Amino acid sequence: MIELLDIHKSFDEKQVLKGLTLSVIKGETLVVLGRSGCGKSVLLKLILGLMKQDSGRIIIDGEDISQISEEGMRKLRKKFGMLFQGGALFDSLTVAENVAYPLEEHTKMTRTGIEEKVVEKLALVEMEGTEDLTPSELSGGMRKRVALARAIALEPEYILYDEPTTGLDPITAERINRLIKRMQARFGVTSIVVTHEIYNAYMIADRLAMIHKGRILTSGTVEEIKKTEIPFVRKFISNQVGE
Amino acid sequence: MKEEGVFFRFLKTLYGLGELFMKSLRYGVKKPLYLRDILEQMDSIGVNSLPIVFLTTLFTGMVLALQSGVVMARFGAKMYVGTLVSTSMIREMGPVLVALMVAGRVGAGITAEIGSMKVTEQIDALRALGTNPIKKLVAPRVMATVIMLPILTVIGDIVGILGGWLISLWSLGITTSIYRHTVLDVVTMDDILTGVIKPIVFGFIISLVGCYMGLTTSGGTKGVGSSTTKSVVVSSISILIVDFFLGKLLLAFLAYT
Repeated sequence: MIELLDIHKSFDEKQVLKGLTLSVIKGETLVVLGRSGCGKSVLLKLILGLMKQDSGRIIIDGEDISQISEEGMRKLRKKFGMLFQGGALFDSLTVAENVAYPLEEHTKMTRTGIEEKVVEKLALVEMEGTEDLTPSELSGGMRKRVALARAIALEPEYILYDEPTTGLDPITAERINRLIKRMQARFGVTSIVVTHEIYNAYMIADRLAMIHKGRILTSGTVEEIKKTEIPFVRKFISNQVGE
Repeated sequence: MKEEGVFFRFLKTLYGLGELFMKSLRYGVKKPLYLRDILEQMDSIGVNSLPIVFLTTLFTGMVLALQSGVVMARFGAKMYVGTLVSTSMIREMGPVLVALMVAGRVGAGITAEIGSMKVTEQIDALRALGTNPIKKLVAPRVMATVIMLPILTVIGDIVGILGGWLISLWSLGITTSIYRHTVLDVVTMDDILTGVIKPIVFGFIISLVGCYMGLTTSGGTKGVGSSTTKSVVVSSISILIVDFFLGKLLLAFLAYT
């Protein structure tokens, strides 16, 4: 379980999160909605300890991460897989080397064992046969799928998705949605998905949470959100809020 | 965004560089050592810089001999061209020129590579995958530069001295045997020490500035461009300033007469 309690975070003069409180229950897919620049991606980076909050506490499986050393944090991060917005594949490595990277870093698996695992994970994201390609040879959607294969290589308990479908055509986006659901169904992972695309959010969410003005404005199931009377949420879901 | 003063930014950069230096030393010796990364960097920083170092120092040695030969001939000291070429190359020209060329080639490359990784979230991805980016990216580059720069400098010194020999032989009419004597008889251990200590320090400057500018890149591809420029400017100027003070320090320390 992940709990964020009264999180504040500023960049220079700009206050992005102003007392955000949110909890993520084990096994669920929580979609965090909000306008661009509202601090959604910051939220994911705070959970992973890639950024530090100005105040507030983040508790992961009972451990307060602000009390953990950088070394301890590196160990804790093995519980997580993160899909970055642009994929963030290492462009000096091939597809297979990218997926193998966490296995080489953190396990004592043999070369053959790693190769088998890479093939298995690539098949899971429907990217078989791309092992020897470099990230620059892949399309945006393919890059995200390989990045997902890399994120799940260590079979994490939590997967964090940063705008997984943004910039993709509807068919590729649908494919990514299917993969997100498959991760939950097959491995029981807990997922936090950050997006501003309401349609895709409905497709995958067990629960939705809306960030507005640095706080969680409301949260609930897809049905509950659809029925809400809060004017901003109504505007957002009926696509009247611009970027 | 609040505008920071020049002095404040200078202090911040200096602090950041010091911190990066300490961390790269601390993490560099801890396991895993990333030996493959170190060897790859030694190849790209050292071996691939050989042509540029060769050309720079060859022509510098040749021009030193050519110009000093003309002036020294006026005092009847033309035969000491070898002494002038060798001491200048070993003590000053070799270390500084090689460092400047490497700062342009390698420093810029390090910043561009790490900067691109930063703006495309690859550094965050490394951390998310449980890797320490300072250990994985900075330490191997610092280590490789600090090892390879003195080697490149020694090669550059030799090439420069050989360049001087070519001109002495062809253009100044000095025989090989006189040139060899004037080179070998005057070069002391202090010259060699000065010539090797300097590139070690310059190696730290180039690699740390390169990595620091890369890691602090922001603002997309435009940011990568400006960080790369800054990296070359800062390391080149630092090399020239540090060269003076280090030269003075070494002179005092080695009690040079």
